[in-house]
Formats: sequence, C-alpha cells, structure tokens
Amino acid sequence: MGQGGEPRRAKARDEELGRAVAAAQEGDEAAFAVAYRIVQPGLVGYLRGLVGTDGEAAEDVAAEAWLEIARDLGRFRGDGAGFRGWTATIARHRAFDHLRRQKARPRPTALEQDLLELPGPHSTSAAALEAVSTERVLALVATLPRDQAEAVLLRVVVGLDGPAAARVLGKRPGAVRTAAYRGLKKLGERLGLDGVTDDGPGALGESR
Amino acid sequence: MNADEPLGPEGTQGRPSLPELLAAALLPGADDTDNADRRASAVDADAERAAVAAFRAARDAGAHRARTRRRDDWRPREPGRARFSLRAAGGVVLAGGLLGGVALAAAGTVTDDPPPRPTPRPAATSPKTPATTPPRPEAPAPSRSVPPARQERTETPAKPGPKAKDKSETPREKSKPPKDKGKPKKPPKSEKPHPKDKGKGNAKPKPKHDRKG
Repeated sequence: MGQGGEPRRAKARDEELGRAVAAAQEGDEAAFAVAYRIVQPGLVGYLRGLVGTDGEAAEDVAAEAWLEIARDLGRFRGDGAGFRGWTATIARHRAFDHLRRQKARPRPTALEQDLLELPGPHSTSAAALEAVSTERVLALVATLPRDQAEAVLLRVVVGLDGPAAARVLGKRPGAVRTAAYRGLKKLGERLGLDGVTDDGPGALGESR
Repeated sequence: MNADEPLGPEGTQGRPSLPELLAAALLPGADDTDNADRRASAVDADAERAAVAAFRAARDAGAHRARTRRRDDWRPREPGRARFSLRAAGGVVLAGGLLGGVALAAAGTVTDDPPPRPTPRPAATSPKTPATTPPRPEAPAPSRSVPPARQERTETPAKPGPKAKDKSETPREKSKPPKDKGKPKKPPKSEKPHPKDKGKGNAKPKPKHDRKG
C-alpha cells in the first residue's frame, strides 16, 4: 500500500517522540524539550489554519497550549502518535478560546499590526520566499469548509492518522477521511497541481 | 481502518504528492531533518524555554502524578472503538428486545382474533338469538342474554322505562331498594331487566320470526 509523504515521515519520528514523552513523564526535562521540538512545528501549522496568520496568534495559542501540556503531561497515556493527537486536542481547545476572545474584542488596525510586527525567525530571504508560499497555501486552506480544512491540517501538518484526527475533531473516522480527501482534492485543483490530482473524478468512490 | 492508507492523491514518480507539498509549505524547516539550523529556526527558542520551564514547575509541584482522564488516554489499544462496539451491542440487544416485543404483541392479536369468530356462529343457530346478532364478535355466553336486550332498546325506546321499573323493582333489585324507589327515573338500570320483559311480552313474537326465516 502506498503512503502519503507526511504520514510516513511522521511515523518515523513518532518512535523518537514516544521515547521522549516516556522519559519526560519520568521527569526528564531534556526529553520534554525534544518532544516539544518534534511536535511544535505541526502544532503551529495547524493553529495557523485555525486562528490565521496575523501577527503571532498561532504561536501565542501554541504557547498557551504548551503550558497546559506541560502541566498535564503526567495524565497522558499513549505513544508518540497518541501524543500528537493529545496535544492537537489541547491546542484546538485553546484556539477556540482565542477565537472567542477575538470575537469579543475589536481587532487592531492594519497600521498597528505593522508597527507591532517584529522581525521573526523567518526574516531571511530564503525563508521569506517560503513564507509567501505558506501564506498562499494557508489562504487556500482557509477557503475550504472548516471540517475539510481541519481534517487536511490534522492529517498532513500534524501527521495524525485517520482515527486520531477523528478523535481530535470528535467525529466519525469515515467522515473525517472523506473530509480530508475532498479538501485535498480541492486544494490540488486550486493550486493547479494537475499532476497530483490525475486520479479523476471517480476516485472518491474507490477504496479509501 | 488503517493508518497506512494513502492520504490523498499519490505523487507520481519523482514528483511530490500533494500532502508532501502542503507539508513542505506549512512546516517550514520540518522537512529538513538533516539541517539542524533550519529545524531550529522553525521552533522559537524562547517559546521552548517557556514550555520547559512550565514542565519543570509542574513536575516539581507534583502535578504529574494527577490521575489520567479518559481524554488523556491515547493508547493504541483503541478504547474508543471497544466502547463503540459495546454501545453497538447494547443497541442491538435493545432493538432486538423491542422487535421481539412487537412481534409477540402482533402474534397475540393475530391469535386472539380467530376464537371469537367461530363461536358466534353456533350462537346464531341457537333458537333464542335473533338474526341480527351474529355479526357481533362477542363471547357466546353474554351474546345470548345481551343482544336481545339491545334490540328491544331500539325497538321500544319509551316503553321500557315504566314497564321495567315495575317489574324489575320487585324481584331483582331487593338489595338496593331505597335508592331505586326514591328515584322516579333510572334509565341505566331499567335496561338490565329487559330480558325478563322480553321473555314475557315483547320477545315472544321474535323467536317466531327467526324460526320462519
């Protein structure tokens, strides 16, 4: 059976992540830092899709989530893949809290945003190019229905498998699988990636 | 469901798949596992320090000995699926019981119906019952005594009142005489004694009709 690129890579790292989490639960501080470095990029990518890319919103929400993760680590039971799902669930709840707060409070103007914006870690030219494409992809993801966008982000960016993504979203695995597939198909079409969406309109009915 | 299924359209040979492209775009630096610098750039060092500090504080405060809640249990044994199957089994049992109950109730009505039908027929052949009674699906015993009374009711609506009173009061209703006598009219009770009336006066012509017809 073939593999999408991201799940395979995520799986290879899941073993390392699982070991790090187990050691951290024994109190190993350095192991916790290792787990953080493995999980944080996917978490921030997912949160960017949830709360947008304005300022450092995704990073702020991730920091809140990590406070909770660090506090509740002793409660967690599971392996590396489970840790991704557990942390994604916590981050998702914090993201919804953030969105509720944002709704209650008027957003700063664009000028204030510009003044507040500090040169981040992506300010080198090579990273800036990458950031543009990240923005573009996230803008496209934002055009998807929410269930599809979340399903795509959880599977591709966080690296969850179908059942884990379904558990994070509180939905049936079949529904999440379908949402992820439809979302990816739309993204492929909008990105103009003909080569990767060649499998035709009937592919949805195939065994997936 | 397995975790190995392809997530999306596969990349053809040499070309990255869409999930790979998305991951590369949304995870800056995460793809370069060899390049420590770029990977490090994807994770803000201050944020990491804050997280590790929170971890240390929680560990030292003993927060890590907290009990595991259901939402914290992500072990691959898939307790969620086991729970679902239990729930599904419970649903099946419940549905089976309900269906069985419905089936039993339906069977009861089906088997209850036939008995009354054959019994009225012999009642129809009995001499005293008139021709109009057979269609009633009542038990044979009451059908003999009750139907004639009803028929007379329809035939003579005004008559039975006074007549019944006179005759019924004396033989039958000795048990409650004060009430009955006190009331001049008693429509419900006047209907009961009809069979007697019929036997003496009104019912006589009827058996004749039956025998003729």
